Amino acid sequence: MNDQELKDILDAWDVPPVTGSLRQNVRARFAASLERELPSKRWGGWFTAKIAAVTVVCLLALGLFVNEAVPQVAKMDFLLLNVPFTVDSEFTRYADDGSSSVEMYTTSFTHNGYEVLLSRSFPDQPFRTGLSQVMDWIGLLMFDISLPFSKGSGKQETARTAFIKNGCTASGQIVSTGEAILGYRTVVIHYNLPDDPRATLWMAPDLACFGLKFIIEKKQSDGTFHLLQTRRAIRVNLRQ
Amino acid sequence: MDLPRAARKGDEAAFLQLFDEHHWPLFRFAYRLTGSRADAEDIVQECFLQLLRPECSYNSRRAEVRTYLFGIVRNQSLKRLRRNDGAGLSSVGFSPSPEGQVLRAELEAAVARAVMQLPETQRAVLILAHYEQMPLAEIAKVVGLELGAVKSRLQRARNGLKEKLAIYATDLERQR
Repeated sequence: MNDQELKDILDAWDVPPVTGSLRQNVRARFAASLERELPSKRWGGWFTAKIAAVTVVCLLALGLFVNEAVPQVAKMDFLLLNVPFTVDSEFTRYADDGSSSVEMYTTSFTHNGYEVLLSRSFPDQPFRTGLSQVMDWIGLLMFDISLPFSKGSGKQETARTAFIKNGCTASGQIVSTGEAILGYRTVVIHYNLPDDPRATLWMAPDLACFGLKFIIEKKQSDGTFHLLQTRRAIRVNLRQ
Repeated sequence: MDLPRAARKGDEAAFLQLFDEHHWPLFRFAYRLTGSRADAEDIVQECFLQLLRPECSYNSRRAEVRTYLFGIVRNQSLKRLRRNDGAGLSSVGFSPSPEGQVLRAELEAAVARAVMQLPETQRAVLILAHYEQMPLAEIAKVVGLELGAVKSRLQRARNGLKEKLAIYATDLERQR
């Protein structure tokens, strides 16, 4: 069979017309999505929207003021938590064509195996950054205040201590030695995420197994891996 | 005018213009991927609504809206096919043909079966290239592959179909 014959045969497969209701359904769902997106229309129009806007602006102003007036290091002095170090990280997302863009910068620390966020910032998005920093600060305070009342699981803490003592490995896990990142030696672990992307994590045993680098890759049908997302530490801030 | 942006801001006319311009090729693509009219219509609806969501990653500087929409249709179709575990194949439906068109209907069913039996990426590439006449560079963006990989998959798909459909080449001649 030549190419022309194949083309003629393939053209025999027709597609049925779309039902007349498709456009109406899409239109109705568009209207419904607007209703969800714009609560102000449902709850009293502009007045509610204005109140919400003023509240957001006030919160943002307060957050920005706190953020500017109180440096991050000083913020931690208020905390009940003992924070021996913080890590600044950069999150990058990669498009299908290989181009990349920085999504977010974070400052965080680790506490009993959990990463606690101190602040986030988003390049070229001052409003989102301001709002996030307010939310992060509130979240951090809530976390800190709740600490004396939280009942930590003894088993969990023991396992965590053993994990750090064993150089960031748990029984059965296969790890390999990774490159030094910002002067800290690392161990590497690979695992699969839902929907099959592959994740690789570089943990620093000397920083309580903090993940200094994390990448997510998707396997292509030709067997190669395409980078989807990365997170890398750009600075480690040790505290006295 | 950036129609997706206007639609996201609540401009219904912009949203409907987008729909009118793109829904038919998207429906054809979804139908040929899933083999189901109902699924294809659901996918097309979902595809346009996804453009309105705050987490929508569409960026007019990075890709044409058509390319982006085809990408969504492909992903949605894949999800459905995995969920139905190939049920689409059996649901390829054809209305009864009048006498004299029986042969044509049989051929149509055979083509549908052969295309749907191709591996997923080969199927998507073939449908976009043959039925939608999409340039290979744009197909590469829709399916997330390099141009060379798209070419090789298209070639493999065509070769596979030539083998499977060889017996129908003579039938087609007879119909003419």
